[in-house]
Parts: sequence; structure tokens; C-alpha cells
Amino acid sequence: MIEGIGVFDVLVVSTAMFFIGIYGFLVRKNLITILMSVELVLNAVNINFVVFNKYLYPDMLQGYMFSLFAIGIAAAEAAVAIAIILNVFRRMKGIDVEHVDSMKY
Amino acid sequence: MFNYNFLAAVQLTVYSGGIVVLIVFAILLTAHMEHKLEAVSKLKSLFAGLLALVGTGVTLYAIHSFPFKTALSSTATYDVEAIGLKLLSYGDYGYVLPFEVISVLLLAAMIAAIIIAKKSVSND
Amino acid sequence: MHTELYSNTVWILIVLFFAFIIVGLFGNRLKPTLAGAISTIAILFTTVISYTTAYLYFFQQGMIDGKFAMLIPFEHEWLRFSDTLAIHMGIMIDPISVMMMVVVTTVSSMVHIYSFGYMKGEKGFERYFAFLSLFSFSMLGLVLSTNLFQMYIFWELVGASSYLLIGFYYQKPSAVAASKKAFIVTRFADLGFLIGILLLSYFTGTFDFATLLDSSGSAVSSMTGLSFMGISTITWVMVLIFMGGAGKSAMFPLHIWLPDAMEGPTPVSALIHAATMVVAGVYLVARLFGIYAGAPDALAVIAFIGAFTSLFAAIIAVTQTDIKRVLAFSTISQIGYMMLALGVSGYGGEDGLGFTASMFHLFTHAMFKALLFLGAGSVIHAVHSNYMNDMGSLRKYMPITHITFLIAALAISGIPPFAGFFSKDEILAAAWANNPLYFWTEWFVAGLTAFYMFRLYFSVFWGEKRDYQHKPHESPVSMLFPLVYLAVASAVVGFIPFSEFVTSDGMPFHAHFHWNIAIPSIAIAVVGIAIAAWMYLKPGNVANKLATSMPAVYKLSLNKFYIDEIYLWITHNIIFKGIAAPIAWFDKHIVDGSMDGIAWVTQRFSEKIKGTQSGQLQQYGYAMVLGAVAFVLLLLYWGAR
Repeated sequence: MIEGIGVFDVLVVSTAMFFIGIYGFLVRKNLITILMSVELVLNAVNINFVVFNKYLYPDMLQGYMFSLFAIGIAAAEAAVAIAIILNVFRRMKGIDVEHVDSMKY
Repeated sequence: MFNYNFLAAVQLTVYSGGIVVLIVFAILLTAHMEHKLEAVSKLKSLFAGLLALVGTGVTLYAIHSFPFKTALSSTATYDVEAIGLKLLSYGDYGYVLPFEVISVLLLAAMIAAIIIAKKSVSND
Repeated sequence: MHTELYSNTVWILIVLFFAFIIVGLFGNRLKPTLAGAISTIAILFTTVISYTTAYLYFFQQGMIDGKFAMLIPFEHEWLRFSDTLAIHMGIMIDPISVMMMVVVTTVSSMVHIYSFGYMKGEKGFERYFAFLSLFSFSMLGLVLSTNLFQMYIFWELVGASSYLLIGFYYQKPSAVAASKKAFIVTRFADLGFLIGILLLSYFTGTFDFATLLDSSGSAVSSMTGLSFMGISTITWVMVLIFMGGAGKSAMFPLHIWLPDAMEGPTPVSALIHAATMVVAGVYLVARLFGIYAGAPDALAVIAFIGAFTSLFAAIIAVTQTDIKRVLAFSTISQIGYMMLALGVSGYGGEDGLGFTASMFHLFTHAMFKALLFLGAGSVIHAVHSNYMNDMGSLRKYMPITHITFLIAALAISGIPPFAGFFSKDEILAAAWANNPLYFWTEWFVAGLTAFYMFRLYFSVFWGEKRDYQHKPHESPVSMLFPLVYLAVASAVVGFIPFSEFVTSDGMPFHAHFHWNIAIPSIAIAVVGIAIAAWMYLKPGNVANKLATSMPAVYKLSLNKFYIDEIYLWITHNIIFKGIAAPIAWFDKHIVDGSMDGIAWVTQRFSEKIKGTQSGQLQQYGYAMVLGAVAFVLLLLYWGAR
């Protein structure tokens, strides 16, 4: 708890991070960059959990534990995503997201 | 800042030590020196930006109008020993089940990553 | 009671049906002779049963209370519509059904034996005999039926067998067209028949002949007094039923199928289109005669159509050059006689002379017309052509055929002591009693009959000496035996006192011999024969000179009064262009069009919206986030409300 900084202020930060991440996901062309934006979103969510834990329920540790696990899962997901990107690279000789569209009409 | 030292350490280790390295490797493996990515189409970035701004606005409005009840400050600090005990306790508020599950998940992710990324032997 | 004596009759139908099934299904695995033998043995067996039944019925057991009774030895309920209305399948023994049974089995067995020789070596020999069995089964089922509906079922079966047999040489387009024509024309007539049956059963509540023809007339009393468009209901019903009979019996204007039906093999023509199927219409009217007696307007229609048809067909027969066509038109003319006789008949006792005469003529006509056709088949087989112009002086080469053909020609011309004289005499007597105009018409037709028959006889067996490529030889025994048998029959059956057996109300009466009718009929027949002899006995040009002197009449007669052309014109211009084409247009463009339109709309619509499944990851993500944000906005604003 820091004096002078309320819940809302920290939540502004995390919201901004979240939507910047979403913007990046929707706009970037490189698959790896898209992955980085997704990591950004996950981190914003983690901040959210920690803030709620610290400010609203300081005696409990649920948010803390949850964000711990979230970090772990984010790491696993990044690993699998990289593996997929490598596979796509082998097939398409490029990692432009607009070329990965064979599941279409 | 919040005295969540362990969390900070874990974050640093996993993200900068793991994920960033992974991403760097991926970039190195999939980069073409001569390959220049095309610029994003203006229309797409416009719509996405619009959506992001609207989303931000809506969320902030929602958060702002919600009365958060900040609790009184508590002096309880949690050191690593306490967190470790909490992780492995199976009473109330024990986290042993997620702990076990995430270990299985990490195993699965590891196997998946290996299988997806290996060179296919038959048709190459 | 008496009915157990006749329980053998059910075997008639069973044996013939199984003969059809066996020869039909296994025919191509059997040797042809064996297939033919199975069929022939079946029909001979039924002939024996029918002769014994006839003997038992007419001479020993049939009379109850002084009249021949309608007995039902076998009946099985098939469908029940209501308490009173049911369809049975059964066998009925009655003077006319026994008589028809004898006729059908005799002629059919003769045709079976004849076919061994005539159809020898033909491809489809087994199929032919299977169809012959089917036809015999259907015809016998028709004459032995106990109720109108069963009769209708067998009526249609007979039509189907006729179709199969006319189209026997299915690789000839003319045969296929002829079989189609026969079936369609008779089917069209059967429409009237069916409507008549339905109306009759609606008003009387029953199909059974026993109830309908009950002499108290109770069944039909529900129809008296009702009328529709100015004509009484009973007349409508009976005329509609007659329409069915007119189609099957080739009355004008539904006669067009019979000359074309000569495309079938000659024994088939003998069996179906001379002796048995075409008299089914006459049989129908005779069977329902008890009801017809209560509808004198219907009888008047029948008499008129019968007389007109006999005159019409006789005129056409005078100029035809194909042997079988002459015989076909002769058949139409003679059936006209039978219908006329029924039409002028009264009911009961001496008044019912017309009925007896009609049935008698049916009996004798079957004998001599079948003989004429089989003889013609013998000639055709020897000369390999149907046309009289290719034949002449055959009497030296085919003596037995010659003699039997002569006997038949004399019989049909009404020369005593052969059979046709007696039956025709009774018809003329009945006609005289009703309306002298009918008498004089039929008298003239008798003369024409003698003329064209002897024209045929003289042209084939006397006349020009032709140059035959193969010397024509007499036919084999299998073809000669039926000729001889039928010739004996034609000579002898005239002497049966028919009125002792078959009458309108079942009670026998004694028919008198009318010399004042007999003398004119013999005279006109002799005149006809003499003219024919003058024109055709010696080779010469008399016939052609006469034809060129009356060109209009000759052309009309030769072209069958252009009736076929009129039908074709009506069909093409009115039915096809006027009715069928607009309906087809409607179906193709509006009904199909609306279905196609729906499909087209769906397709275009889906083409427009398929872009949402583009496979682009970011598009999907965009849609998800947009949806989520919109949803939240919605909740906020609704929550605020």
C-alpha cells in the first residue's frame, strides 16, 4: 500500500496496458510481435489481480497465488506459441499473419 | 512496492530470463535479412485504434463508477517460507492442487512444443 | 347345396396363374417345348374342367325352380369398406359365365396348340406362352367374377395382357405403338367404367352381382327418380359402364386400337381380338342386363352405337388389303351386331330374345372368327406376307386350310346349316321386333359381310396365279388340328338350342324359327357372295374399275374414314398445344422457377457473407473484442435504465 495512490490509479495503468496489448494484437503483422502483445495483455491482468489483492483483501493471498500461476502458464503458452510459429515459418517461409489463412471458406 | 518480493522475483526470472530469450531466439530463427514487412494498412489500424480507445473508455468508466472498499492496511507480510507452505498445504486456502496441475501442464507444454517444432521426417 | 359340385372351378384360376408364374419366371431356363407344354397342359386341364362344369350345370344340376340359378361355389372377402360394402374374390356359376368359360377355354386351348407350330423357332417363345397363360387367367377371372370390382380388376389385367401380347415383337416400332394405343384407348374407356362402378356402388351400396341383379330390383330402386342434367341417374351410370365396355369391344369411336392390334402374332389376334377379350364389353352389358332393363335410354344408346359400328366397320372392311385388317374390321362389325342385339332386347321370356341372340352370336362368332384368324395365320405363315395382293390360287397348295377357311366364311356370311346363320337370324328377329330400321341396316351389313368375306376368300384361294418364291406348303399338324376342330364347331354349334340355356332372366324358352327373316338374310348373303365371285374369282380388273369409278367413297373406306387422323389432329393441336403445353410452361418456369429462385437467392446471399470466414486471425480477434465491448456497453446502458 502506498500513500496517495488509490486503486483507481493503478487500475488505469493496467487498463491502458490491456488495451495497448489488444491494439497490438489486432494491428501487427509479424506473428512474434502478436505474441509479445498477448504477453502484454497477460501482464496487465496480473497487475489487476495483485492490486485487488493488496488493496481490498490484504490478509488473503488468492490474487497473489493466482498471478503466480498465471505467470507460469503464460510462459508455457509462449513456448508452445513459438513452436507453432517455427512450424509456420517452415511451411510459409515467412511469418506474416495474413498468409496463415487456409482455414477459410 | 507492494512488498510482494517473491512475485517480483518470479516475474523477472520467468519473463526476462525465459520468455524474452525465447522470443529473441524465435526472431533470430525466423528472420529474413532481405524480408521487409509491409506497412500496416491504415484502415485496419484506424479501426483497431478506435476499438481500443472505446474499450479503454468503457472500462475506465466502469471502474470509476464502482465504489471500491479499500481495506485497512494490514501489516502481514508474507515471506517465501509462508508462500511455500501455502503452496503445498491442502487445508483451507491451500494451493496444492493448482500446483500439481500446473506441473502437469508444464510437462504437456514441453512435450507439445517439442512435437510441434521438430522437423517432420517423412515428407520433407 | 349344389355348389360343392362346382368347387373344382377354383382350380381353373389357380392352375393358370401358376402356369404363368412358372413359365414366366423360369421360361428362359426351360427348353421352349417344355415351357409351351406347361402352358398348354394347364389350359387343356381347365378346358376339361369347364366342359364338365358346363355339362353338370346345363344338363344336370343347374336348374332351381325352373330357372338357371346364379351359384357361387367359392368366395373370399378381400377388402371391407363398411358394413354393406365389401370386395370379394370369388367364382360365380351362371348361364353366361359357364358359356363364356367354355368359349374362352376352347379357343384358348386351340390357340395354344396352334402356337406350337406358328411360333416355332421364334425368340421369346417362352415369354409368349407365359403371356398366353396370363391372358387366359385374366379372362377367365373376368367371366367368373362375382362382383363388379373383381371384374374391374381382371378387366385391367386383361388389358395389360393384351398390351404385352400386342407388343410381343417389341423391336418393331409399329408393334410398340400399337400396344400403347390399345392400352391407352381402353384405359381411357375404363375411366368411364370406373366412374360408373363407383356411382353404382354409391347408390346401391354393394358391388355383388347377386345383390345387384336380384330380380326384385330392390338394389337399384335407390336410383329411381334421381336425375342429373336432365338425364336420369340410372341412365348415366349404365352409359358410363357401357363406355368401358365400348372401349374394350372396339365400338365407334373407340375402335381405333383394334386394327392396329393386328401387329401382334396371329394366334394372339385370334384369341384376344376375335374371340375373347373384345367380347368382354358385350359380356359386361349382358352381366348387368338386369339393371340395363331398367334403363331403356341406356339400351337405346347401346343399340344405336352397335348398329352404327357394324355398318361403319363393314364399309371399311370392303376395301382393306391386309388380311388381318379385313378380319379386324369384321370383328368390330360382328361385335356391333352383338351390342345391337343387347340394345334391342327386352327382359324376360320371349322379350329377351335379343339377349339370347347376342350371347348365341358371341358363342358362334368366337368359333368361326378364331378359325378365320388361325386360317389367315396359316396362309401368312406359308406366304410370308399379310397382303392379299401377294396371294392367290392357294387352294392347290393348302387344301385343309382352304376347306376350313371356306367353312368359316360360310358361317360368318350366315349360310345355313353353318353356325352363323342361326345366331344372325335370331339377332335379325330381335331387331325387327324393336325397330325395322335396325333390321334393314343389319340386313344390309349382312350382305356386306358376305361380300368382303368372300372377296377375301376368293382373292386368297382362287384369283390370280402368283409367282411364289418358296412353294407354299400346308401347315404342320399342330396348326391344322385347331383349324379342323374349330371348323367342326362352326358347322355344328348352330344347332344348339341356345334359348333353352342362356336367357335374360334364367328361364329357358323355346325360340321359334322365323322364315320371313331367314329368307331375306340368306338371299342378301348369296347376293354378296355372287358379287364377290364375279369380281374376284377369276383374275381380272373388275375390282379396280369399280374402285376408280367411285373414288371418294373408295378413298374414305380405304383410309378408315380418316378417324385415326382426326384423333391425331385433336391430340396434337388441342391436347398437346392447348392444354399440355401451357401446363408444362407453368411447371417449368413458375414452379421450378420459384424453387430455382429460392436457391439462387440463397447462393447470392451466402456469397456476400462468406467474407466473414476469411481465416484471418486478426479479423477474428477484432470481432471478438468488438463483441465483448459492445456487450459491456449494452449491459451498462441497460443497467443504467
